[in-house]
Amino acid sequence: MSPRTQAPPTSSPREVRTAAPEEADTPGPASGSGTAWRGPRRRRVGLPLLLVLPTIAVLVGALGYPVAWQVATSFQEFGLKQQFGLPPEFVGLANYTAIFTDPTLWTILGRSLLFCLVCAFATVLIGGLLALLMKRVGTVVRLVLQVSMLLAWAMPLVAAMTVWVWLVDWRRGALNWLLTRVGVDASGHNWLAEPATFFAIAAIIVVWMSVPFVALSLYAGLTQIPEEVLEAAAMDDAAGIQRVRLIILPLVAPVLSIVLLLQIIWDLRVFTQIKLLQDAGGVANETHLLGTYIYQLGVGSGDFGAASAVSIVMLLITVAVSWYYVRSLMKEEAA
Amino acid sequence: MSTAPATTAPAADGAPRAAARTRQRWTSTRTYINAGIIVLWCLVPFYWMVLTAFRDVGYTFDQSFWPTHVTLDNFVTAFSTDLGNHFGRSLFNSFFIGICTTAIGLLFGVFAAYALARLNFRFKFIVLGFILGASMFPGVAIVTPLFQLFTNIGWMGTYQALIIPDISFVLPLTVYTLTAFFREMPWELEEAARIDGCTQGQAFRKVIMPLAAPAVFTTAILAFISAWNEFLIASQLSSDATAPVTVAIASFAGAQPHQEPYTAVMAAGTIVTVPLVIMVLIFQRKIVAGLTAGGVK
Repeated sequence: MSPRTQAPPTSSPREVRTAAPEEADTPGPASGSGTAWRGPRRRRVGLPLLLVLPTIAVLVGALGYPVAWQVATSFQEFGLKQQFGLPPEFVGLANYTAIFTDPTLWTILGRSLLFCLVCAFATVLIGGLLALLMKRVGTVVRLVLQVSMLLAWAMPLVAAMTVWVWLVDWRRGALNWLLTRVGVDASGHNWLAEPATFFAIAAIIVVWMSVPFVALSLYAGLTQIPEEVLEAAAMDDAAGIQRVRLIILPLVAPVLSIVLLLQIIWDLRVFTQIKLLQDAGGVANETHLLGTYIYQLGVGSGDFGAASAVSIVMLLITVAVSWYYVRSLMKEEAA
Repeated sequence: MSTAPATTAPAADGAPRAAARTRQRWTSTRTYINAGIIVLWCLVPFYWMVLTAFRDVGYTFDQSFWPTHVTLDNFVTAFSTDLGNHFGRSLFNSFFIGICTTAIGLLFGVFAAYALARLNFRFKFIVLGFILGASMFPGVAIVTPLFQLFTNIGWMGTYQALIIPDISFVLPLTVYTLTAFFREMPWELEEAARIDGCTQGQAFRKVIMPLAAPAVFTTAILAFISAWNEFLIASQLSSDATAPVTVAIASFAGAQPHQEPYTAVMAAGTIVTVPLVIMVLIFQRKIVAGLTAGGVK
């Protein structure tokens, strides 16, 4: 587990690979000093690719087939019969025209994007504030904060959802009970029946689950800022918000943008939370997001062709949404 | 601690300092109130889970916020193989899958992140885009084709059928967080070490790794938790023998038939969360140690 025990393989294969051409290129006395300071440029041809190769291999191994299958299936008539062995029939763009002429897809698309953006920005905002808070409090309070966040996050999804569903349950939920005690007559109100409150609750749960990751990443990013910079800012009496906006924000920008991007990607494909909330009393047809819609089309009604088409559309949307970030990442790389 | 910058600042003239001090005191009080609210928000569901785990089945829907009708029966139910709850075995499965996923994901992730953050090579953008793209495909869309693929090659219900997809979910995350960290590292130290006679591998191992330790441990926790909590893939691709806890909990049977075994589920949830808590507490110390080590730079 320890990184130190993992490190040796990084060096050994490279040593073997690069030593040979090095010796061949510079024979004689130069090879001795060459071991201490071997030309970095020369070895950068094979080594980086060697280092990223395992990652690429795993990703291709696990995702290559599914993605290829989805692309192929989206152009095929693929129903329950095909699942039991009948060869699928190529239908061209029929699945795509079918889903795009169905207004349901557009509604769900808009809903998913809105839900995803609201959740992602709320998560990053709360996570960022929390990270700043952690930077300001003492060690003990920070530990309490970190541990409680990790507890929220470490709770298994199924157990966490059971608790949340239960907390908002209309008959015996703690939420209605509390509201009634405070004086709001909420007894017997089913929050999951209305799409608006359904998504509000879903958003609270999704944000609750993802804030710890964001807060801890941003906190780790903050710790990379040299203490002197912050001290200097404090001595110049920069107001809190100014300090954050002008000094801290630009410094954590790389971490921040990655975290926001990952959050958008994850929130766009949210599935389990929505599915379990629907099972607990939501009206499924009015509360579908892309993830549950794909599930309903495929596993639910056996139309895998349409489900694949929606999956591909969803993939393209994710690529489009994150395009800006990828571009800026690449520009940063090029600089 | 929150007032550290001010207290270490050189002493200025009296009056504005006093005003600043009261202002700071108020700010720090507010800070602690905020901290308290957040702790509460994070912990309520967790507290509710533990509370119910120790509550008698008959009082499942007792709304008291304090422990009532305390019992350990739910834990017995959770482990009861007579009821078909093979919870012990699924705990082992989850550990096994989680550790394999974390170890391999982290190992590969460190390699790739080092290359992406530190080295220049021609296909870098393509690799970056590819890894990012891999995290974009919806999990729901992966299950069906994987199911078919694994059925065809006879992998259904095996560990590798669960571990490989899990690694592919974890890898983009580890690569991205580690790349972000590696980019901020003081690489001059590595150069210095190389001038002092280290190879690039040694410089990385002896100089950069210790500095990157907090990032690596944080990433390890992230990876382990995400593997530990994976549900969708496991629910479709595991067998009874390899089912992890998430699947086991979802298919729980209670002591009384025809009743949702809420309390047993909560007991199981509590047990599942405990290893993570312990791990977090252990890692926490390492993270803090890593942070102070990083501070020396």
